[in-house]
Amino acid sequence: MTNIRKRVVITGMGVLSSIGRNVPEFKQGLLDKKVGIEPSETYSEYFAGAYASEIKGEVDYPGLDPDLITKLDKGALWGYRVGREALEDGGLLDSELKKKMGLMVGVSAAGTEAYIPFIMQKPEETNLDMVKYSGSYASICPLVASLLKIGGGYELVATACTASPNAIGLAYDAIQNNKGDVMLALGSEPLYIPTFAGFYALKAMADGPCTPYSNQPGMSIGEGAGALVVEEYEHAKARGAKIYGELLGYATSSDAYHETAPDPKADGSSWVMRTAIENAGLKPEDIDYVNAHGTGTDANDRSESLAIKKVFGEESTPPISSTKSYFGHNIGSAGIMELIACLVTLPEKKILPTLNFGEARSYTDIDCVPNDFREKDVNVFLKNNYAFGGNNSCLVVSTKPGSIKQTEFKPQRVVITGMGSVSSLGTSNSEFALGLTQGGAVPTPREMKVELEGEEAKLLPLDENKMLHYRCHMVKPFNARKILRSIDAKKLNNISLYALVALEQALKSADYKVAKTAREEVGMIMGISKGPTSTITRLCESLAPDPNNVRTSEFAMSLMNSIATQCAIAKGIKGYNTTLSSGVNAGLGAVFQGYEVIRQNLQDYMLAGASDEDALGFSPLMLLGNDDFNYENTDNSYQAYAKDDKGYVMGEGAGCVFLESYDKAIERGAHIHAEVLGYGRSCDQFYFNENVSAQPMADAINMALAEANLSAQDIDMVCGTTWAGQYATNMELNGIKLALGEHSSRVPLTNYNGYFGFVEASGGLLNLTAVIHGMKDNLVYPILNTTEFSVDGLNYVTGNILETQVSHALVTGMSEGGNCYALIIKKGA
Amino acid sequence: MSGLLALHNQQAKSVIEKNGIEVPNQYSDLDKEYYALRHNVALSDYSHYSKLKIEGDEAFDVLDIAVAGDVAEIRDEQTLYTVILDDAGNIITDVYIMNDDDTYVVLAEHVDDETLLSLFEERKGDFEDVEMTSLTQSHAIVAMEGPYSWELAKEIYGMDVIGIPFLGFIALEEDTYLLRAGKHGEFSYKVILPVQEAEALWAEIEEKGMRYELVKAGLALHELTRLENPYFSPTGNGSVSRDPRELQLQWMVRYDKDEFVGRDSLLEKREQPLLKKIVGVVLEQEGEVKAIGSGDAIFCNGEEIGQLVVTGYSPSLKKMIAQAFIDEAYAYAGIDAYVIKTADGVERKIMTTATPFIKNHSMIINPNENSFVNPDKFRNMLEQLEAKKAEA
Repeated sequence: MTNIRKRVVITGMGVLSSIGRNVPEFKQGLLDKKVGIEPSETYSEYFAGAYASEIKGEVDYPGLDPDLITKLDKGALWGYRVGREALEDGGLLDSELKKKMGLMVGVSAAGTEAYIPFIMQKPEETNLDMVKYSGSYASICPLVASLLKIGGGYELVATACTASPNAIGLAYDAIQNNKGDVMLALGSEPLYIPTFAGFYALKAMADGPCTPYSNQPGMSIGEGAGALVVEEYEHAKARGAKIYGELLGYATSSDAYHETAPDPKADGSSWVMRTAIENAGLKPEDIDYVNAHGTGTDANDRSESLAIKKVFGEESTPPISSTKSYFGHNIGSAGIMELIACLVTLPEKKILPTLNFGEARSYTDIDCVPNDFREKDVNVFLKNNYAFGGNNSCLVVSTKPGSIKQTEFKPQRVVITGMGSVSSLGTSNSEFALGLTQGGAVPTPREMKVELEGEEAKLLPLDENKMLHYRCHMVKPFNARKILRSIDAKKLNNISLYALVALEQALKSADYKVAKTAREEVGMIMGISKGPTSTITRLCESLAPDPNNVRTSEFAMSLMNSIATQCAIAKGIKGYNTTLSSGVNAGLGAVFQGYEVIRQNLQDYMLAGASDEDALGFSPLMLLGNDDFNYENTDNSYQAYAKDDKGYVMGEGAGCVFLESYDKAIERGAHIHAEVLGYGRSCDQFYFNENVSAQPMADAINMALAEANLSAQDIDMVCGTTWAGQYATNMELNGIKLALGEHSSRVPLTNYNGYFGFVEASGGLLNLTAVIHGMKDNLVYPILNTTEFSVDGLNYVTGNILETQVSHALVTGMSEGGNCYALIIKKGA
Repeated sequence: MSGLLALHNQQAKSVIEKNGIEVPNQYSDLDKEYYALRHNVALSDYSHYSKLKIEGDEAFDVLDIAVAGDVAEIRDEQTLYTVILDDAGNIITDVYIMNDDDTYVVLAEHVDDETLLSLFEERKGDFEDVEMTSLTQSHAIVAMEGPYSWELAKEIYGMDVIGIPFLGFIALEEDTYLLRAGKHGEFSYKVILPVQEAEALWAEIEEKGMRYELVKAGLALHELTRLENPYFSPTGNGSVSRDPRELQLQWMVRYDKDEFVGRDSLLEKREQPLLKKIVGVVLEQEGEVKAIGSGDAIFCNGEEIGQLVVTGYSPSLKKMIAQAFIDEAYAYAGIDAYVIKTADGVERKIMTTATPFIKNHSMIINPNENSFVNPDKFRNMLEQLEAKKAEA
């Protein structure tokens, strides 16, 4: 049986750029060949000869309370602004469709603004409201979802310069899997000092507006945002929507080569173009134009021009141009803004020029459309973007929706054949399983000096020496060399090390070796919450007082996608590659997307992982807005779902599962631990109040049941993963009750966080791994320590290990912003 | 047998046996060979390198103990240049270790096949999943070397050659590799291939190399080039010491590794003061001076502070150069207060210097921009810069 891929079209656009503050202005700016790269207003103070494409002056936010505006960071506000414009443009601003609409966001330096005073040693300027609302990396998602009343769940893609095109790809996939007819994809990237300082210190910047492919190499940094309404074609037609273009396919990949430099052989950057073209059912000769990444740096332009020549042939490259010559490199929002630039000019039969084009560089033997618009009727074009760490993305887009034949795919059953974990229980599957039967690990006492004064200091239970005492499920020291062997573990920060150890185990337990001849067969998705906090801390410490002294060595490794990069490099994994920094339970999002890629037969094998290192974050300010943290400092105080909630005990570690198609698993005789039957995602739209709704979790569960073609009665166990706190606990438990109805009082319900602590991004994956370990022997491990539960009427597993037949398990989870996840798995053979 | 011996016997000026394998020592005229290596392309037969393939799940573990560098640093298609020590912490040989998807190929110039195998066999211990196969007799090494060797290699192996970093390689076919590594500071590409394929490749390189004014060269040339760009050599710097500290080769040792042969002895030695070390020396006067030789004493204010270890004439500097073994207190670069007493009884002024002695021509060539054969491109970056200046 084959499925015809749905046509996915673009039905709304919004943009904020130095050359235009909405789509019409932006289009005019492009047609006028306006260059928005100027001497920097913000950064000339710190950096000699600083140029940037900046959003200058006040920006208005229609529909927002002025008081609220002061509490939010620009990332969220700009996301809201462009999202609103796109929805309005698509006739959806007041539509009921938003309730089921998914939100896919791409960012790079998110969650930064609230901490700038702390980083720059100006604590008096700290805005605690901003810390509360915009202080986490993923906060843009719940904020935009809440402000625009979008309820279909979200993911945050954090692959740096490829983030927004990869977010568009996620939206495309969600539509393919009936997770919604309409999605909002956006990228939002205000420019903050760590980013500027990093690129400046790397000497990557041009000393004026950048000149891609010509003159002196160098990039121009920029800031801005862009949003697209991505919609199923028939749905769009039926409601009479304006259609700007059709997304024919996409691909993403990893160079698996270097932390910062692109592969000089351009293997990954050419592979991603070829694969995207192939996914769209086309051939290179069908491509009329390429909107290049074209940063202007020597490394990018050289490698990209080589990649283009490899794909199209040296003598037959189509016209190529770089829109970064207009408004610089907008990092996380670059791809989506550049795509919008194409969609407003190509339908007028005008190819965007590469502005500021002077003397072609020696390798520029391609047609860069220098300086003037080219009159040409372009139908199919590529939008390339490449990122630090060798993450590559390519979108294939048509300006004439419906003109290209739809592709087909044979839907694949997706199975889990490998697992790995790192936690306080240990660094191997056997230690993890043993830890479950032995009642979990004992959290380690920890202390931290908190340099806060006055009222703020009173918000935390500090002792007379300003020490904060708490417990943490730490990963015990282990000999990484014994596990990873041919990997230089000394170079890795803990978060990458844990991720890699979990990944290595998952590969080993799947009995799969990444073959040299088939590195592109395997892809990887990494879920991240606070990310590499130790590296971020070192980077931030080096920024003040003089940001010119920023530690460049930490810059690339402070990025959220650096973990996936290290894993890809270490294991030579070159296939589909993305990082979801959606916060708590991001690992579950990674499993969903890994499943989706295999289901659509785009990859044979996927690794879905998540990792967290000792995650108090780089600032104690992070603890101020956190009411759920446990300060009891005893062995048993972490009691999931307790009526008398004492908060969570943090943990660190990583989880990883190896996913593959059922056919491949059978073909290679792999042991199948479990089959993924379906998933659902939904989100709360009320970030600003404490009213708990059970509906989003119930919606996510019902969506998963529908895909799995099961009813509530078919579920044999439920594993929740919520950390603590009334909001999260009630949302998860009541959601389960609502979705499973009567059956919820009978089906065994557990939560394994007490065994290894609340591990932010990885918790869901670790719980999933524990479920699979238990399923094998028809065991459900009990919830530790809790005696009285906050929600009645559910069948909590307590006390002894429960022996019961488990064929189908439901794993639920949510993020700190109210994004709900539900995953249904079936026991393997 | 290198597979090329019959050819060399016909064409080469002299052939030499190294590690039991005969390879050309000199092909034609040494000056001509030198010029080609330093300015365009030289073609050499390095089949005398001992070659050992180590594979299996525990190959890494054996290598990890046997060599002083960190094998964990290299991923697929990367090469580690390091040393193997004895239990006393003295260098036995330098080695290249190529990681071909966790199968390793070890190349060693200074020990024969049997010795190389034994250095790893001795470390097998309890490791069972390790298999070692000698490629020494079955495989030849044909090398294209010189500032434009990348361009010639690109003609034969395609565009990807340009992307091979120093100490990187491409696996061409099973047990056949194109390795970018050399010991003279110029671009260098070694093809490791089955002996029966060597003659055809040699012929192809010769033919395609004509445009590059390629010259065939022998090992004698490399004695000289390695003086200009010093590396470990048992008959050169290694003749006075095998201590990595004294030879200034500590960079080839990873002390933070938990275990490797010679580690404990080396750590003990590090506790002791360093008495002497190797330093580069240039004779002040220009031209070739035959009277200079190894063993010549070095003086500072009449006090003997060391001696020359290996000496020779550098055609690039047009001066005599040497590696000297000098008392630690005097062993710094940039000092012109020392003299040597040569065999003819004459005192000659010398200057200590950092090595390498010369600035390699390859350093001013950018494979992406320059070309030896394309008249539309500049030959090197200097020409390019000057043309730009003139234009301005």
